[in-house]
Amino acid sequence: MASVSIREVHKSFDDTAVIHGVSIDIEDGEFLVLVGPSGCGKSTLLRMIAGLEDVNDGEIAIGDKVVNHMAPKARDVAMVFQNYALYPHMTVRQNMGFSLRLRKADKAMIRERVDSAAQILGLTDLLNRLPRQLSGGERQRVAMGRAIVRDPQVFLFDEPLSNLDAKLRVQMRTEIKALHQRLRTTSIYVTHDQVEAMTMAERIVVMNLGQVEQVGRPLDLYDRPANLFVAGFIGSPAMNLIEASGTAGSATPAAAADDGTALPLPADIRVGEGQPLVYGVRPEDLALATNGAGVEATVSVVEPTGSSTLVFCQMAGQEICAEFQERHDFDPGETIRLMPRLETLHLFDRESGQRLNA
Amino acid sequence: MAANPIETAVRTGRLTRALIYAALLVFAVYYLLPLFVMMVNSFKELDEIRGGNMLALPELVTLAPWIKAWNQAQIGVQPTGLAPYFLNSIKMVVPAVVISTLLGALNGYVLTKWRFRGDTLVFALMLFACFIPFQIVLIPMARVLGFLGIAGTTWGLVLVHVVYGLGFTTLFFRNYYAAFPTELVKAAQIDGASFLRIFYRILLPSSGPIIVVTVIWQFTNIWNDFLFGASFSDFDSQPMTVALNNLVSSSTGVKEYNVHFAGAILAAIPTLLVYIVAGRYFVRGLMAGAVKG
Amino acid sequence: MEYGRYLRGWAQQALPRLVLAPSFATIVLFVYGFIVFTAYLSFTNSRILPKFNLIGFENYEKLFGLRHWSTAIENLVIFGGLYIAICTAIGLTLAILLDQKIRAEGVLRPLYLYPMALSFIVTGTAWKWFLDPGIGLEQTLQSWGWASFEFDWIKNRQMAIYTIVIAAVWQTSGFVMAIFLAGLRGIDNEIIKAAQIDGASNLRLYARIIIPQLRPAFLSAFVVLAHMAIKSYDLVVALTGGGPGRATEMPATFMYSYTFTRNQMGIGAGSAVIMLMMIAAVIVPYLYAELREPRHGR
Repeated sequence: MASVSIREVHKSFDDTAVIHGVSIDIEDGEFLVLVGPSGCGKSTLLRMIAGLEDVNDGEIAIGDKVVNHMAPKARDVAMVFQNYALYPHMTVRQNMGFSLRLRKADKAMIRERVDSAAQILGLTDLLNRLPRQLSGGERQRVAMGRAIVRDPQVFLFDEPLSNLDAKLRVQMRTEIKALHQRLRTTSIYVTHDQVEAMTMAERIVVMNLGQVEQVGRPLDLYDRPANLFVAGFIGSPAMNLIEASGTAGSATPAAAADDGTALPLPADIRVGEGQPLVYGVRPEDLALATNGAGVEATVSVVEPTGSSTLVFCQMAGQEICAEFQERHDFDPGETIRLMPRLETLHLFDRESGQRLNA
Repeated sequence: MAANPIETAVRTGRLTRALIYAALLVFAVYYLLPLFVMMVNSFKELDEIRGGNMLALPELVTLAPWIKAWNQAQIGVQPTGLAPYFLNSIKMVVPAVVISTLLGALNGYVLTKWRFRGDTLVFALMLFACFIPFQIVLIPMARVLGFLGIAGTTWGLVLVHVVYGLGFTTLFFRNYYAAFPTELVKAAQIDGASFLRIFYRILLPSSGPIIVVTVIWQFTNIWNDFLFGASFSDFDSQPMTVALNNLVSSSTGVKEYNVHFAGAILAAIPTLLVYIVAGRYFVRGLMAGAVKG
Repeated sequence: MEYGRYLRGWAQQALPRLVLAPSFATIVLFVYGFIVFTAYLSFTNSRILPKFNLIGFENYEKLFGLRHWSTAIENLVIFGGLYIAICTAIGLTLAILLDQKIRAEGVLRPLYLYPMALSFIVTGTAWKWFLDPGIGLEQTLQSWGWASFEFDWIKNRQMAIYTIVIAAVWQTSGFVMAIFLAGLRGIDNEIIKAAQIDGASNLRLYARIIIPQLRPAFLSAFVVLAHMAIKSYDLVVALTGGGPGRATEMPATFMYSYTFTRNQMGIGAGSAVIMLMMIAAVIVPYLYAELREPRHGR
């Protein structure tokens, strides 16, 4: 086990830069998730840690060794691939033992390690099968088994669950997390799925366009997104973001949406008059208001999910979403009033996209 | 390719179907006719061919033409028959096929799994080499073989066939490996396998079909070659095709058609055998040479 | 220590290219180097042996003044045109017929294709005697009672080139069938079903829907056949030996005889260069189109 340190790393393919100066420190034993939309550079970064891509500039260190020029095999990392990358002509046992065989490990030792990994993952009965005789979930487990057997310094996961169906994905999510809690091996996990990131990570790194947008614990990111990108990316349904400007004159701070609708602000915030803002409120932070409080909204679609009710409506000239724990049966076209919870309001500067309130 | 070769959505009536079958049979006869003519006449006495009918079955079956073609007919100086030339062809074909297939596999591996700037250009230059008219290389090749001291030898022919077969073998393996998941190579790298070990532990075990295709293609092409054999061999290294042509077109003496036919079949047997045993792979090679994979 | 690791990393990186290098170098030397060499010789007055003093375009002027060469070019045009047209027609017909859920397809297809496995020398031998008026087809049909039947093309200066077409078509048309059959099998059946629901007759279905989708197959067939036509050498040697007289001379046989038997190496080299240019005109655009894929990430 080891820490991983990424310092000012740059990467370009041919002449297109894909990673512009990324720095991340991963602690020993941590489970870190790299999340971002496709093309944000997260997989490239993972491959650079693995040694499958060159580092153009900057440093990557595993433990206290800089590994920039080390071959993948010298880095003592194991990787789980999106398509599992199981060797088709080798049995499960051979697949799992391959790396140890290459390291000329003792045969009995290989057998023992493979057996114990298989036991952990429930693969004991499948050891003599070929990959093509396995289901998707079983292949996924073998790919993990191959990583465990190595007992490496670092586990690297490259979107390992994206080829599984929804139900299996949820199950494997839990299994991987449980496995990490048991082995405590430093793990770096890449995904484009923010739910996966939220549920599995100890810390999340949100990436976009080759840069780090924010690093933090899952709930910190959710509660206090540092900028518009993170605000929009983390959370489902996504945060409502309304373009607005500060208004002056009244004793309490206030803002108005671009169409003039007044939007309430918490008392402890300062905004200048005409300051361009983005007013962010999560769907579950909108409550039904009575006797004229809140903001007027016109219902367009109601989606009952069973556990909650999603109400899509027009508010302040924009399509927004409100999520209620209780059941409601609004008619399309009906007018309701919604009150944002001021304690959990998110305000961003429209120009820089940075968070304004503490 | 479609999963089921019989699957088509077009429907036809009964009369049309009868006509279709008739047409298909006529073509079958056309393709079989020359083989049939060679076959039946190779078992006839010469007089029977001269006086009779080439499409008739032999009245008197004789093996004499076959024996004569194999080890008695006068080709070159000695009445040796085709046997020594058959052996020459084998001595030429086996090493040429092995070497060119192995190199093609390595080239295909590098060109798909270890890509580098300009790799497509490198491949294009190698591929174009498949199509050049070999007349353009005959003159300098003769000099280079002389310079290397292997002019007129079987090894000279092996070199020539390896060089001009490389484009095709590389093409076959490149197209095959292009479809081979690159993640497996990356996984093996992380598992600690080196460049060559990845090749023989991960790629080669999955390369069976393309090796068969390549070997068959190279075998057929090299066995059937005439131009290089005629240009670069001496009497003691001439391949089968050249000897057969000498036998058939020698202007001296009586034209022994039955012996010529027997000789032609002898020259055709190895490739025909391969075709019968592994026709599917033979066709795949043809198609891969014609259309990009 | 750091430097040693760097060196090892470099060797690992360079190894793939080092493995490819011998093959590539061989091709560069034996193909492109030789092309340059031959092209150079075509501008010299080399006779039996190569000479290296340049004489400009004299060989090409002589070449295009030679009656043998114009015969060879004429023959190539006749042969190439007919060969490509007939092979394509037969190949397409057979492919369409075989694509009608023919139960015997598994037997018939290999029968159509086996000539492709034979040497042109074998093909030439078979057809040489089968077309020989003294013992072959002519005599057979006469012995069956058709006394006036004559078929002496192979001995006839005007017609001999067509016998080469017959034998060459026999050898390769099955292959063209295979190209078209693969093309037909690649067409989405749903499109065909949709056209049938739209009310297209079988004839119209083929003319309007199916055959237009075979464009890539036509292109492949054309490229393969055209380049085989330009290169054809073995079959001519085995079937007619370039005769009667020089009636079936082709560029490939011309090159060989001028270079190696008539000792006019400069002219022979010139004819080889012309052949290369003809083939390049067909192949280079094709390869360019095939390989011009966008480079996606590794």
